[in-house]
Amino acid sequence: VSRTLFRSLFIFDPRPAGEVEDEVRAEFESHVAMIEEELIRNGADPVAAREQAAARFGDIGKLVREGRNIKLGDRIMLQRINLALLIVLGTAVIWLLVQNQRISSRSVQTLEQVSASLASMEQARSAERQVIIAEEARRSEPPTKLVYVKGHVARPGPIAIPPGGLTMRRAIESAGGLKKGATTIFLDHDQPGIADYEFAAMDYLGTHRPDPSLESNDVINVVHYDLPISEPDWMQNPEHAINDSAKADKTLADLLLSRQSAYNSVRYLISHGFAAEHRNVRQAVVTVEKIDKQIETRISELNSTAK
Amino acid sequence: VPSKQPPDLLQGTLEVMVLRTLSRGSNHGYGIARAIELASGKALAIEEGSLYPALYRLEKRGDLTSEWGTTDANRKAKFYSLTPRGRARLKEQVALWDRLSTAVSRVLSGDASPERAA
Repeated sequence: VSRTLFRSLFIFDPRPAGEVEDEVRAEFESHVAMIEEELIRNGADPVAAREQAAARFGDIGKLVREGRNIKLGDRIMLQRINLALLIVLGTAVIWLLVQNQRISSRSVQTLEQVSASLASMEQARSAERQVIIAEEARRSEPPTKLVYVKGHVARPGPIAIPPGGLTMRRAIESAGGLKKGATTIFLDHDQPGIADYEFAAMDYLGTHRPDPSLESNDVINVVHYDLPISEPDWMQNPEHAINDSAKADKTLADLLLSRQSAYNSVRYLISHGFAAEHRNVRQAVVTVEKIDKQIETRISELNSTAK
Repeated sequence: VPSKQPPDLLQGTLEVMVLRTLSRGSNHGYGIARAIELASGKALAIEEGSLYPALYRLEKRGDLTSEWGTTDANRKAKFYSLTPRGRARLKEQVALWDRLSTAVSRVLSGDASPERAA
């Protein structure tokens, strides 16, 4: 039985079905012809013999198909099995392709999500890093050095020392300049071992302008004292009153220097607690007023000479 | 006129008759049918509608081979021959048929032995 099954499964007619049918049909026709010949030999009419012979076979077409099926039955069965297997395999391949496509699509989606998450994380980390860098930069920056200008100035307060350094005059200018009536400028150096200074505000405005460099935490204190000295007219606008030719005049220069010295005497006495009625103060004030008159006279002389 | 046999009988006996006919030499379908009719004293008439399926099944099983040839009347026909496998099968089938026919004969003649029946 197993040998028969083996033969039926693996040994079959390899010819096309049409060729097998043609052969079966030719065999039947040969058989019909032989019957016909026999009938004729036995005295039958040729036409009747042909009809009778054909009738023996009945439906030749049906017999041909039956013969073909017997000869090719296994092959047809195998072809059907092959077709079924092909359909199953094709379906499986299509299913696998679809699954693969879905998995690929999901993978791409997942990768995109992971990439987006990583990019977001990287962005956050970058921002954090920049904050850290900024913080480190801020920490690494040298501390701002300040001086303080207070007292009789337009905008008292701290002034930052720029990289190029800062002088007293620029510090006072940064603080808005001296207010009218400013008398004395005290410069208190923060660092020990450096002498403190005291300047007359007049010196600051006049021809002699001491302008010391400042260090961190130096304090400029501009003080106003009520000096018993009235300001002469030329002092309201000295730059205008004392023109270039007047500045070159030695007599005037000497007078201005004397006036400054006398003024400083008054200022010094007042700032150190002497009353305006004190004899020394009065004497110094008289000196100042005397020099002021001489200065006015000299300026007039110079102006008339210039005209 | 030869009597037509029922298909179930032919199915069982036709193949062994075909094998027996071909054991005497190769023959075509028409020749095989005529030979069986003559051998049966014209008691059996082989239908072509049964003969050829039997031939194709035997050929498929490897009991027969076939090839196209020419008859004495110079007609093209397909000749079937017995293979060694077919010859062995014929031997088996003949032996089987002998036992069967003996048994059937005994039953029909009422000659069965009581020992065996017991």
